[in-house]
Amino acid sequence: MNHAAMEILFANMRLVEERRGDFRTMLGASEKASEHLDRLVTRFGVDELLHSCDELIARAERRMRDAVSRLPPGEYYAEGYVESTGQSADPLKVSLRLVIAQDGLLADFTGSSAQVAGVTNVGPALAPSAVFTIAKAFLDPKVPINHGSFAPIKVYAPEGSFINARYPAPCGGMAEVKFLIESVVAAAFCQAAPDRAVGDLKGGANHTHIAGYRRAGKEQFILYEWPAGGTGATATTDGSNAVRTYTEGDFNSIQSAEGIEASFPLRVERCEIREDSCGDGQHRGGFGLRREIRVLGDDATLSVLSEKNVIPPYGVDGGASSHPNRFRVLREAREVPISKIPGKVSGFPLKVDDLIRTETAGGGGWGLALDRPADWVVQDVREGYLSLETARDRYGVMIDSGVLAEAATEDLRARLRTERVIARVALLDAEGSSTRRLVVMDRDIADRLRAAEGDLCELSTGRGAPLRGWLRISEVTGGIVRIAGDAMAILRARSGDQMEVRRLASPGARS
Amino acid sequence: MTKALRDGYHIGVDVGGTFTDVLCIRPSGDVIASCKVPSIPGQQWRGVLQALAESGLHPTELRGVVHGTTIATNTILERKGARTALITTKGFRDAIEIGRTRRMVGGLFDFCFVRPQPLVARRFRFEIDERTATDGTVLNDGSGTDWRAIAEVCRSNDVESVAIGFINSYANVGNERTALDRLRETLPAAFLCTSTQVSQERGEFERFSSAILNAYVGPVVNRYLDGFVAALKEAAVDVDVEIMGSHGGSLTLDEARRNPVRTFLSGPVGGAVGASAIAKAAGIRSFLTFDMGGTSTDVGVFPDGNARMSFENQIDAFPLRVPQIDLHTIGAGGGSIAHRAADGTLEVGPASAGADPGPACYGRGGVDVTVSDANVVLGRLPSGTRLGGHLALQPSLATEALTCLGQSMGTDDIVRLADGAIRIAVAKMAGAVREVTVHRGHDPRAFDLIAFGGAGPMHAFFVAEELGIPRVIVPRWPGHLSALGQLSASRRYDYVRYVGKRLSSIDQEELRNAAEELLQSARNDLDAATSGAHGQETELSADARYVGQSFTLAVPMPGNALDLESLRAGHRELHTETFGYADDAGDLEIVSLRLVARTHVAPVKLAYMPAGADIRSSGMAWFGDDWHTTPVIQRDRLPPDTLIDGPALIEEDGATTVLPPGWRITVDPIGNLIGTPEIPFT
Repeated sequence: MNHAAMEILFANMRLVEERRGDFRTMLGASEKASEHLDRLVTRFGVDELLHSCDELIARAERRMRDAVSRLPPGEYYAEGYVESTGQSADPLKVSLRLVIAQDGLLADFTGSSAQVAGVTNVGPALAPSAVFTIAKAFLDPKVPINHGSFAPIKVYAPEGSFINARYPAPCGGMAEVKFLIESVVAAAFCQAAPDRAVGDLKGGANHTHIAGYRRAGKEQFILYEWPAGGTGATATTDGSNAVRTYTEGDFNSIQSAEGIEASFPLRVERCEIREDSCGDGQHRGGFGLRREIRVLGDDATLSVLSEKNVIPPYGVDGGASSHPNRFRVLREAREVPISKIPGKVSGFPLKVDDLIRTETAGGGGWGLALDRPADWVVQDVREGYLSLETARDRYGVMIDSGVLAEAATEDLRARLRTERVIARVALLDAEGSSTRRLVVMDRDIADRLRAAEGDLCELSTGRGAPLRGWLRISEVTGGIVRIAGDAMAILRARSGDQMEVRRLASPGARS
Repeated sequence: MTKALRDGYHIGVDVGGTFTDVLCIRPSGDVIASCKVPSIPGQQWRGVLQALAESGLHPTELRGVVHGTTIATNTILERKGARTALITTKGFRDAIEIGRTRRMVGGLFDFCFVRPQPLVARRFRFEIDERTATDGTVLNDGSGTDWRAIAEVCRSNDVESVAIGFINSYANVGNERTALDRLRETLPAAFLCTSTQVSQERGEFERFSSAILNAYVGPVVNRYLDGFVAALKEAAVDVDVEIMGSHGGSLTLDEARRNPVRTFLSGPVGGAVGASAIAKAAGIRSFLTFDMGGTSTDVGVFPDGNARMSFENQIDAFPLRVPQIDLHTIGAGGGSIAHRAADGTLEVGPASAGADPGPACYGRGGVDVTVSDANVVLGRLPSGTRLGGHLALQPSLATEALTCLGQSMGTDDIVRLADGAIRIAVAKMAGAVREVTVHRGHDPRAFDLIAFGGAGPMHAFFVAEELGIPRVIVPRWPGHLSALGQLSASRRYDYVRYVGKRLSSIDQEELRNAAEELLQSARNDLDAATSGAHGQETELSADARYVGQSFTLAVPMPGNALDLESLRAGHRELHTETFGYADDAGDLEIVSLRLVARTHVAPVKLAYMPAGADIRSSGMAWFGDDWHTTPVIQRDRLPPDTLIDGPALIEEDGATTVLPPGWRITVDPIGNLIGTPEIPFT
């Protein structure tokens, strides 16, 4: 080992003893692996070993091609946003054309935003890795991975886009961009395989750093967590609560309250399910979590890097979006502003007794909430996962003294069905060059949504993921919503089709 | 120890799904009877006593029973436990649901994954206003709690069992104890337990989860124990009852009632402890236990004869922090089904034909090809074999099932197909052995493989070849070692004391005092339980890690002498052995001290007296690439020092040993088959 080179690396790391430990662990594991590989070579010989590897690779490739061939061939489109450039609150867009052919697929990201001067760029590895993760989940989830699984998948991410940035663009948004690309690829697969549609996830990593000093300022500490959210619903299952998702390894995302209190001048006052945070649906998404940490020492700071604080995780097949991630600091029980861009907090100075409240997103819903069996909703209320108000307003379920009020529920559900805003879509000729998807809405539709210019809204055909966009109001009363041709393609819709229009609550409006 | 000193006789009783095994010894250790009776739910004790009477043993002379039971296991796996409530600190009722946000049981790439539901419904998780700080200071003693209101909700909802788990209770058990007292007053009929009674370790999720598992099985296990003690006392007035614990020792009846989750592995550890008794008698030092049954295989590792223990266990998605023998279980056994996978390849398991209908060759209507069927087609299970003593094999049905599978795979070579199925099953079992050895820092080549269970001796030699294990032992009674294990188990107590300090800043005297307190508790328990005639021992160890690591290593403290230098040295050695390196500059964190106390029992005498003349027949069996003429030998007639070269099949009641070419076995003085390769592995 080149000790001098290693020391240069370590000299550029924080909490270097932990990093040394990581490095030694990897070194030890590699040495063990090498020993066992040698043993395999001795036993079988190089040729037979390589031949076996080839066979495993060929087999994985066959499985993947076979699964692709069972999808309806065609082109499917999807898009999504990273919420900031790293310098401003302007979003960056990921555009996807997913081509499903007889025995392979192409994910083409042409049209995605150009690289930026902020740190929200990534190198060439993440788009392929994200596409692969989702393809694997949709097509062949059960068996181990090897190179053969990748063979039928081609990925094109344009050089110079923020998802395949070139020198000297700073690259730092690894989890943020990867999870967003996954969310976009999953949306395209939901169109291609609607029976397998799955609600969206919390996005980003929710990096949460509480840093400071302990032992009278002598020793630096960092509590670093990346709290999980709820998972998405499917045609057969509700989502699960506050848990690692299907796209990631099964590691802790939070530490134990007792471990934190023993190690840091902090007290954990709450770690609980974030009630009502699910994406509603016939199957609802899982619930996110709520965590409250009290600051007990001086000189601590809070940093957060989180996505989907503005644009919430989407529901599918008519299911609703869930609550976005949210990070707050309460000082004497009052919220203090911690950043200009929601979810992007850099070294906010904390005071003794401040309370840091972290709330993670729920998972997206599947199917219409009004179709959820009423007794399931009653059960969720009885267990305290849903409030009475949510049961009433979002599911149309009336509960009286803990018991389902059947007639009242039937009436309310009938009324809420008629109150859904259904509009006809028409082609918008020129959208302009904004990164933000434009949705032009006739005044009467906007009024029914109680939406204002610039609000975030979504269009749902009831199949696959919705289209998200920012509202512009046209001062006519024609019941029409206009979107550009590529947006039509995302929805697989044509001019004149009817679909549901929803306003997405602005951050802070939902608890 | 009391049971060994008193006259009369003692029995080990292992209740399996189909049969109950009973082994009966005199206090001297002499075996006086062994029998197998059908397991009839609610009736097994009558059957056991009747079988003893038939052997001329009067129930009134019965002095001691050690019992292995799967009741706790089945209760949890089948979700048949009591309706359970949790009382916890305000803000933490969902700690058991959220955990550390891990899925715990698979789910990668699977978006239909559903996290297992916690064992306590959310509406029965009560938060109370109480708090202890990390250093044990009580910030709020919980005296404002309305216990009557909580009790009322529990009563009106038929809650039978309550776990109490408070934040930081590992540092001060006071508030949990107070809550326990209040609940005893208000809910006298419920099963109650505190988290610190089950585990004293840091980590609320794991500790609360352990307490809930305990509470969940509590009422069920207690009812079961009440029933069987009543049945026993009817016939035998003066009998000590002990229950096999997951840690491989026996538990007093009181301890099993209080902490029934400690019996989670009560069934499977019996076999491992039985194997370890055999190993001791045969002078075998380090060994692996390989217990292969119909649906699963359990592997344990015994470096220098001591079971490797695990302290961070998991049942389904629920952590369990009690010491257990580190048994690794995989779902592959004689009944595992071979089938064609989606990509056209051959796959074995995880589905199993179970006991009913069982393998095709059982003739009970099974049509799937199982590992046993493959063995039949390869001639490795002689057609005269009787399973469980009375079931005759039907080889033609195995052939039929394999022919069918062959058609779906596009081959009519059912012999190669059968051979492939066995190779896959063997690879899976070798993987299980690697899991407990290589993955835990042990080299399997430094161990002997002790093979038992109905299917263990049939596959052990192939597993040994796969891993380069130089010696295979097929003990006597491979089909029923559990009862022997129960009679060999020492009574065992475990103590843990949380420390949570760095080696650089710790006070050696303080640590010694903590250890002394543990030793004193152990002495009290041992004195209360035993006369000490067969010896006792205590073993102190420290859970230590480099600062920043999230896992610990248990560093033994020889002679229970605690000094910081030897602790550091011991950790260094262990870390190097396990992970291949040590960090001499790194500070250590001493997480906790552990003490194990044991009282020993007289070893069971394993006398071997083969009867009658050697009986041999011969058949054809497939090994490697060809058929071999293979002798079929009756095991119970083999005198010590008999030498047998492979290939050979050695038959006995309940198991067949398959000895492939290239291996030879000798019979040792106590009747074990000791197998070694003709040309030693390099």
